[in-house]
Order: sequence, then structure tokens, then C-alpha cells
Amino acid sequence: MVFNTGAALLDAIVLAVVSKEAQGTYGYKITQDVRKALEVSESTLYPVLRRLQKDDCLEVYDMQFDGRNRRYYKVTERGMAQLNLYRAEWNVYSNKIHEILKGE
Amino acid sequence: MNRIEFIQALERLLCDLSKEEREDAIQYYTDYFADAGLEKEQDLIRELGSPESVAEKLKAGLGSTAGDSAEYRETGYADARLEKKNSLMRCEEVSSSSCDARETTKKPWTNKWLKIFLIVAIFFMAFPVIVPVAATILIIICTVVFAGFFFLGGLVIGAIAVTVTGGILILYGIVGVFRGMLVPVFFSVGIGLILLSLGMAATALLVKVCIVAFPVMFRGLVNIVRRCIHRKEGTTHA
Repeated sequence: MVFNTGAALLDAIVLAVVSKEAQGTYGYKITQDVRKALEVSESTLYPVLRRLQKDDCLEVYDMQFDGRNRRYYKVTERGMAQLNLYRAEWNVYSNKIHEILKGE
Repeated sequence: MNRIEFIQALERLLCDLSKEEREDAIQYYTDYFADAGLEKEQDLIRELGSPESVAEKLKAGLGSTAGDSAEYRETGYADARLEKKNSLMRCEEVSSSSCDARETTKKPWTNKWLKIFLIVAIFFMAFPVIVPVAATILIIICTVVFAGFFFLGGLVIGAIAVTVTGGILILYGIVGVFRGMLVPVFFSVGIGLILLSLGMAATALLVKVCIVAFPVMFRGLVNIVRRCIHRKEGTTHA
């Protein structure tokens, strides 16, 4: 990809991916889902998840899976508000860019 | 390098973070490896690069002002602060010098090897004693089991012999009746009938005991032998 993705956009994508699972989702799956859109490396997302967790946008809980404890991430109310803000901003931004780039 | 070594190296490199921060990261990467599965383990390690680079990225990303200097590029998530070689070097020094915890995490590792060495040494030194003792015990057990086996067998044969004797005495009595010797004949028929019934009852009982006891004895013997062999294997593996 030739376009750079800023930290805010990466936060927005991660929040959107996590919010799709009502019960929460786990690190490996989040990375695989984000990779459908962006070529992030395997070590990219941990700092992002941890920061979002510290900002109270994500909460974590552990659940038994396959005989071990797996850590799940879930979007908080605050995270949901933040995601909605990102969505509104993205709509405005992407429309403007689209208007300029569409090449008609 | 496998996943366990990777995680252990990462844990050592994160020793200058708070306990909570370190445990959170280790939990994440332990989960990540487990969810990726064994077949992807090597690919994953290759893509993650070294534990050092993961640790550096992690520490840089955890900074509260990561938002401004960090951005995602086609080569991956990058942080301008990380790209200065000297800052990388400084991080390296900090993580190696201020890590008293590193010493303590290394200690059990050497202890483990020492322990294995001692167990192997003990095993070799005890070898000339263990083998004859084990063989003697085994022979004694075998002897006891076989003695029991033949004792029961002997009892069965005895009971059969009593039955047969009873039968012969009855036959002898019946033959005597035709020869006209009534008193000794009835006596021998009576004794014969008693022996026959006792003999048959004893035979039936003993055969039943054998049917129950032999498999139990045999199984016990097999179990003892198996346990001996397993214990030996256990010592060599440990």
C-alpha cells in the first residue's frame, strides 16, 4: 500500500474490528481481521490494544479456552463513543478525498 | 528458537517495565502463539523478528505520546523515535544494565541443568546396585507367584484324585456285590460315595478359585514388571 495510515486511523480500525464481536475478541483474531484491510505486522497491534485499554476505550477479561486462559478485548462505552467520532470524521474525510481523487 | 524461548527472551527484555505491564504483554504473546497454532509457529517467529525488536516496538508504543511520532507505513507500523540508531543503543543499555531481575530469572535455568546432571550421575553410580537388587526382587516375586500357581494346581489335582478314588471304591463295591461280600462292600461303597461327592465339590470349588486367582496373579506379575521398567525409563529421561 502506498498510503500511510496514521495512529488515529489504526485506532479507529482496531476499535471497529473489536466492536463487531459483542462478546469480545482476542489478539490473534483482531490481527487477522485488521489484516483484511491493512498489511500490519504481527507485532503492530499489541501496543495499540494496550494504549486503547489504558485510555478506557477497551476492557479486557480472561476466559477459559482449550484448557488455557485466553485474554479477550471488548469495546467500552467510552470506546464506542470514540469509534462513533472516528466514523463521523472518516465519512467527512473520505468523501472529500473521494471528490478530489475520483478523476471524472 | 521456539515459542517458549521467544516468550522467555521477551520476558527478560521487558524486565524494566512494571510487573503489570510485563504480564499483560506476555499474556498477549502467549495467547497469540497458542491461537496461531503449532504449524504457524516458525512463520510467526520469523515475522515477529527478534524478541528484541518486539520489545523495542512495545516499549515505544506504550509511551503516552506515541500518537505524534508513530505512524503506519507500508513497511509496517513505524516510530520515528525508533529509527535513530543511538536511541536504540541507549534502550539496549538500559534494558541490560538495570535488569537485576534478569539474574534471578537465569538462576533456575542453570539449576535445572545441574539437577538433571546430578540425577544422571546418581543413576550411573547406583547402576551396579539397582540392577542386582531389582533382579532379585523380580525373581522372588516370580517364585512366589509360581509357587502359588503350583500350590493351587496341586490342590486341584488332589481333589480330582479324591474323586477318582471315590469312583474306584464304588466300582470295587459293585463288583464285590456280585461276589457276595456284603458288609465290606457296603462299607467301601459308602466311603466311595462320600469321597466322590467331597472330591467333586472340592474340584469344582478349586477350579473356580483358579479361574479367579490365576488372572489376578498374572496381572499382578505383569504390573510389577511394567512398573519396574517404567521407573527405570523415568530415571533415564529425567
